[in-house]
Amino acid sequence: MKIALAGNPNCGKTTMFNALTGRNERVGNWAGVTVDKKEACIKQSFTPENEKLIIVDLPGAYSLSAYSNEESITKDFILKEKPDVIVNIVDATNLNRSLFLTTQLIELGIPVVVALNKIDLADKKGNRIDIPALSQTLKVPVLRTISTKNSDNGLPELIKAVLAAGKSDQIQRAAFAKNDKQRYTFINELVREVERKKLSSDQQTKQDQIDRIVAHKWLGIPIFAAVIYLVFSISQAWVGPFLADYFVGWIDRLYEVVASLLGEGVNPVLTTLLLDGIIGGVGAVIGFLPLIMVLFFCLALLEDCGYMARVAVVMDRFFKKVGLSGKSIVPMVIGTGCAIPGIMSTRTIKNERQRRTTAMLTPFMPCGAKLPIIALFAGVFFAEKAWVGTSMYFLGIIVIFFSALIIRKITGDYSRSYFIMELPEYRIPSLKRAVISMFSRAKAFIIKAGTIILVCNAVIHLLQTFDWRFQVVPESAPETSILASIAMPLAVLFIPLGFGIWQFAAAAVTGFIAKENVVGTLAVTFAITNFFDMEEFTLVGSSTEVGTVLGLTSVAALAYLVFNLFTPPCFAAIGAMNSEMESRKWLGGAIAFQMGMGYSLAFLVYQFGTLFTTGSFGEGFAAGLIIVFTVVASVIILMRRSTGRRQIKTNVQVVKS
Amino acid sequence: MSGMDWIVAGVITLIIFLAVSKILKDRKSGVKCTGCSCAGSCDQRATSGNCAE
Amino acid sequence: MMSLTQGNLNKAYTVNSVNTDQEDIREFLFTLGCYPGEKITIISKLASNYIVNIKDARYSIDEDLAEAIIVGA
Repeated sequence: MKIALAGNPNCGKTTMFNALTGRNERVGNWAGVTVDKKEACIKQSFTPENEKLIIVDLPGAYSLSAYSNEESITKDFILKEKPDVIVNIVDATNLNRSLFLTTQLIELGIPVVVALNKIDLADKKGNRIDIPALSQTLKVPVLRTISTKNSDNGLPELIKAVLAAGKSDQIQRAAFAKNDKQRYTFINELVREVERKKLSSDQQTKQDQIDRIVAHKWLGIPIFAAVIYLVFSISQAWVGPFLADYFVGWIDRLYEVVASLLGEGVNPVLTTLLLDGIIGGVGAVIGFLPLIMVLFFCLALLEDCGYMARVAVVMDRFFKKVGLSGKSIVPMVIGTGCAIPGIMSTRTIKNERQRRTTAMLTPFMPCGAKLPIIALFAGVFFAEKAWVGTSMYFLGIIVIFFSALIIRKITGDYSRSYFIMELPEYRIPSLKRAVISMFSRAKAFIIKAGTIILVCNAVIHLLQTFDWRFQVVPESAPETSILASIAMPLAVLFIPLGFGIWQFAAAAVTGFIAKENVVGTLAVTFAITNFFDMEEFTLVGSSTEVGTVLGLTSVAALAYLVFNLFTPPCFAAIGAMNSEMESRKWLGGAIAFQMGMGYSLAFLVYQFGTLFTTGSFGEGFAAGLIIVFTVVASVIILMRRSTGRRQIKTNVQVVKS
Repeated sequence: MSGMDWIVAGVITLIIFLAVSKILKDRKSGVKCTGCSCAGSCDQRATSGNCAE
Repeated sequence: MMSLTQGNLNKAYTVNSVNTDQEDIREFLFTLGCYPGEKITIISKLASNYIVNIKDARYSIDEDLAEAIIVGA
């Protein structure tokens, strides 16, 4: 039996889905977290007779007439795939609006069971809902549910009602209204009868007072900046590194145990492949796991409390100036975890150009996989690492604004779109959910390190060990290896950026497979086993050996960091961009733009940084300037061309009118 | 190559084999990025009609 | 008759029309419960956005949209 969960955005469908199936899908306290349908089987404990129930979680919709892309997924699924039973989740705190969809669903002729969710919140507000009367008028079962609770949540009763509805032969096809206007008249009367409210909802509440501060015209931005700063200093400077030290201790021990097991007798090629290639390379990446876990824990709390919708309100004003809307901030904030779900969530943006632009710029927010690169370079080359780390996120935002302006100019599409966003009620974030989210992401990170990263590191190590005649490369001539000879031509391009060394070029390339690879490849090619200083309980400081081994100036290190953050994201994220943009031209343009951006920014950072610190430009200034000039010139030509086009367009319109 | 060498080579091959087979298995079942930190929100695993797993 | 931008805080207005050539936003507002005859209340004005109450929910709308919503007392 197939059961669809349908309801308004942010009424708790995914929370119920997770509770029913034991899955761990992303939830958040704002409208539009789920943008795709998800299917899973119900937990055994809900079906004593072992019936096979498939639960389908759908994106939220206010009605069956779809407004944005993700809403049409819901509509199409219900109309075309005909689930056996629809569980209509109704937000008990917003009965009136929710019943619009409810009556539409009942009229379809598919058995419907209504779950009055968040009933605890309605009770707390002093709202009383006459459930028997509601059920009688709608002619469908209505049940109380609280899917955030572990027990006494009404879910077993709900499933019982669903099974009964699915098995009954008589399908009640009710018709409540001839048109949607009448539908509201019907609903308004129904709600007047069944709902008794203590307080009218248009009264000012404490929540509104909080809104007035956090979404304030001037205070809003500094508050957002402070929140972001706090999240990243906790993960990168305070708690994260502290935990990482303990963790790296275990990896070191493993390394030593394996080293002593192998002893001296084993072939050195095999020993180093296992120790430096596999254990060292994976270990260097895994060492950052605690930082990532702390980051995801903080992000989960932030997403759960209801603050994100307010950030969208604050940012709307600024994003509008560059041709986007406040809705674009949501994908970007999700993108700080991972760019892929961020890019997917651009589906909630209605305007096509805005959606594509947002999908293109979301990867500029440093994702969780880029965190090890940031932490490494900030830690190795800069003492003030919390500052360097957070500034990368703000640099990301600035680059996004700047790029959005350019893209608007290139496309010549100056259309504005209305902004409307539901403001969910604030709530105290659930620690349990944050912990679950943290561990599921930690598990994913370990799997990634043990699969993709491990294979890449092994391959890199082999390519570095052998030359083209498959002879072991002598230690005195590492540049004769296969890897070096492939990476060297590329490294030449990077000379104007300050890191024209083949190891760095190789690491930047493996970064396209997964961004954690940058750290892994550097560890393998420079034979560094861990990036943490055991004695000082911090990331390695600027004076320690890692900085010397890598052989970069601080300015060049910063340029390399910037380069890796602003070049195109990993292949998986590029794939997500492809499916959301639905245009080869946009995808190609996006990748070219990101490459140009990464190169130009790294060039500016290195050359002007070097000028500032040493008094003269760095190596390869002229050559780099030519490349950057070409990039800038082609962008300007594209912008000019579209301005010309636009003028022709407006002329045509004038003639017509 | 000594006996110990073969054992070490075998272990390395096994580790890499396991990693590659996990990646391939995920590809087959529709997981685009193995162990991506999006924690499952980006894979389109369809379990339609089959509750056995 | 006036646009919502001229309205006062905490006063329930009745929606008269949504004055825009974008049909889909009018439909979308309709499904939220913002249509001629229904009540709308401005809760606060923040940045360039208006926080409004429609039925039992709070929404943030931008100035352009507030301008398009024509209300009567």
